Amino acid sequence: MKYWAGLLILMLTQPIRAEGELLVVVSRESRVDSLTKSQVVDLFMGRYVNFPNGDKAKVFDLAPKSEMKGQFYRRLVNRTEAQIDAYWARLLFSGRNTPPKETESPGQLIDEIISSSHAIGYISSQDLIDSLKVVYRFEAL
Amino acid sequence: MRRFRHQLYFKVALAIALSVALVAVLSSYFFYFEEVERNEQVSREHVNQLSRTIEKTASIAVYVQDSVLAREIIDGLAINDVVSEAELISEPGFSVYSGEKTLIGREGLSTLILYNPFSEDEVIGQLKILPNEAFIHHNAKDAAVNQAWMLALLTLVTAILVSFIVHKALTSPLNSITNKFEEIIPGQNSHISVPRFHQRDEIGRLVSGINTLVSSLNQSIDSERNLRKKTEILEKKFRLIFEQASAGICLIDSDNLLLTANPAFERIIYKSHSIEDAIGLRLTDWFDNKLQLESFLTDIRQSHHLDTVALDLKMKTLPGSPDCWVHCLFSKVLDAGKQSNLMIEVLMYDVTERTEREINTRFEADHDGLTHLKNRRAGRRALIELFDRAKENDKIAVIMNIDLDNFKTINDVRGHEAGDLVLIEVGLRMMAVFRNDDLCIRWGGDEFVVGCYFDNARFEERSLPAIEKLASELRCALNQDVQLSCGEDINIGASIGIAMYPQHGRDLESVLKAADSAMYVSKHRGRNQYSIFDPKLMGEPDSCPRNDAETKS
Repeated sequence: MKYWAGLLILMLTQPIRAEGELLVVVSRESRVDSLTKSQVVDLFMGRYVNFPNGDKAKVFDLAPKSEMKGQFYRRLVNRTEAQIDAYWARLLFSGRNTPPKETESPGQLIDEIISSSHAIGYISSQDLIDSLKVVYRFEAL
Repeated sequence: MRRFRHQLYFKVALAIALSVALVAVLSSYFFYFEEVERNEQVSREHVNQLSRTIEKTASIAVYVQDSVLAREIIDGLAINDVVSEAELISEPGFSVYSGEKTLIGREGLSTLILYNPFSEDEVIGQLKILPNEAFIHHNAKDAAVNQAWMLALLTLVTAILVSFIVHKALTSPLNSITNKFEEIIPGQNSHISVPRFHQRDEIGRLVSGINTLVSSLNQSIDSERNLRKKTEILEKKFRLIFEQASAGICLIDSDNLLLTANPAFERIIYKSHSIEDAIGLRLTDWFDNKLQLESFLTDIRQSHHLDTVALDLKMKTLPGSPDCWVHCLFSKVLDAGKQSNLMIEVLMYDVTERTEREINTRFEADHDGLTHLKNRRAGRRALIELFDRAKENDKIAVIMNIDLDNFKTINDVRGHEAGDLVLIEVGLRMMAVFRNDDLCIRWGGDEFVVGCYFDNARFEERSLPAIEKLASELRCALNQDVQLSCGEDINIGASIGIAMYPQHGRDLESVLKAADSAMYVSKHRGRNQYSIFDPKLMGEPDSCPRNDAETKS
């Protein structure tokens, strides 16, 4: 009985704890200071390849099937990762638009962002470091 | 063919065919347009569905402004038959179209608003499709024509089926009934059999009705036949009665023309007339007193009381042939409803012999057997009539009383035979002197009375001399010798007394008496003379007729 109750508590508390806060970040050197949600969407979904100020944007994504990636797209456009893949599959056909570049881990993603002033990506709030600048913050659930 | 055209099943089939053709044409016409409309609607819906199918991809292509993807989509759309041209438009000048130029400004476009795939309230472009109207219309027309043909075919098949069923169920049994009905001969006990499967429906009832009718017709024909047979027998009997009757029977119309007559009638008529055919001739022409009979017949027709009248009539005869008398019974025949056109039935017996016998009997009864003058009884009756006529017409009735002189002596000396001879001779001479309608009467024994008329006007100048002349003629005639059978002549004479109405008496008896007394005056004056009654002489007592009557001659 105690075991079942413990499991229930675990199930209820787990997502909140694991989710943390999702942040869209750029390098500290980037001239972009903040973005609206739709601007974030337009960048991540390939509508625009430049930031609103005209700077070229290099969009980075996490590896497929990572928990945070699913979380991010659900929060951003309310789509599953499979739907996002299907979306890009249609665009890949023409070859003109390319999906965000995938990184193997959040650490590598952070490295990529730090190393380029054009890079943009998303991280969990726990991983926020000084060399990163938050341009969009998902509202807390 | 003409016959065929009048057959019921042909008419029914023709009517069905015509109405079906009408229905087929009308419904095909109506449904054609509806079908065209519907098909076009379907095609438009198809276009809409097509655009909705690629909506998501199109909005993605517009979202990322991927002209390759957009081209792919537009070309894919244009492959569809229902699509003529397609175009994807995005606001900032992004436009991909399949045709030669942009579709903006064209009519009949199907437009789909494209939204941002990640934000439902941001419009990012439009998908415009120009439907292939020609294709759609052609397609719709084809479908509608097919539909119309199907409808027509269906109606035709239905019509054929209905015709067949009507023929099988209605006209064919009716036809067979009609054929059998035409074969029915009235009077023969023929029946129509009910067609199979129709025992309980209207056709069955019709057949049983016809059968009932036919059998009742046959019954009435039978009874009619029997009746006619009876009537024929009866008619034969009546004709026999009519033709063999001893009495003459005939029927005359309102103009007295003969309508029909039996042989007995014709025998009576032909006895005295040589006529080829009596029918159509006037009945009254054959009788002696034609005018009288005609007015009598008119009376019968007009009178409500006279229905049957019997008359003895004398037929008109050819000169020289014997008299013919018939007893006739006239009866009115009322033809139902024709009051004006009155016929009269005449029943006629030849009564010539009987009438002659009667005439003889009456003559014998009224006349003296010896002299053939009227006897006293009939004479007195005739004198009364004479007086009545004289009174009515204001005339003079003259009575002459004639007494033979010395007749008793002749009788006694010469015998009764000689006396009879004298009396006969006297009668003949009197008849010769007087006119036919003067009355000559043997009053009794050797006494005679004559009655005659004279005009009253100018009595003294004309009538009186005439009377005196007549009296003197009579005296002369009676004074002639009479030759007896033995050849000897004997001289006779007569005393005549004359009296007149109204001069010498108001009635017959007084005038007779006056004439009688005047006769005695003649005897007293020496016989063989005439005397007119003189009232002055009547005063003498010895002139009393009764006393003298015993002493006379």
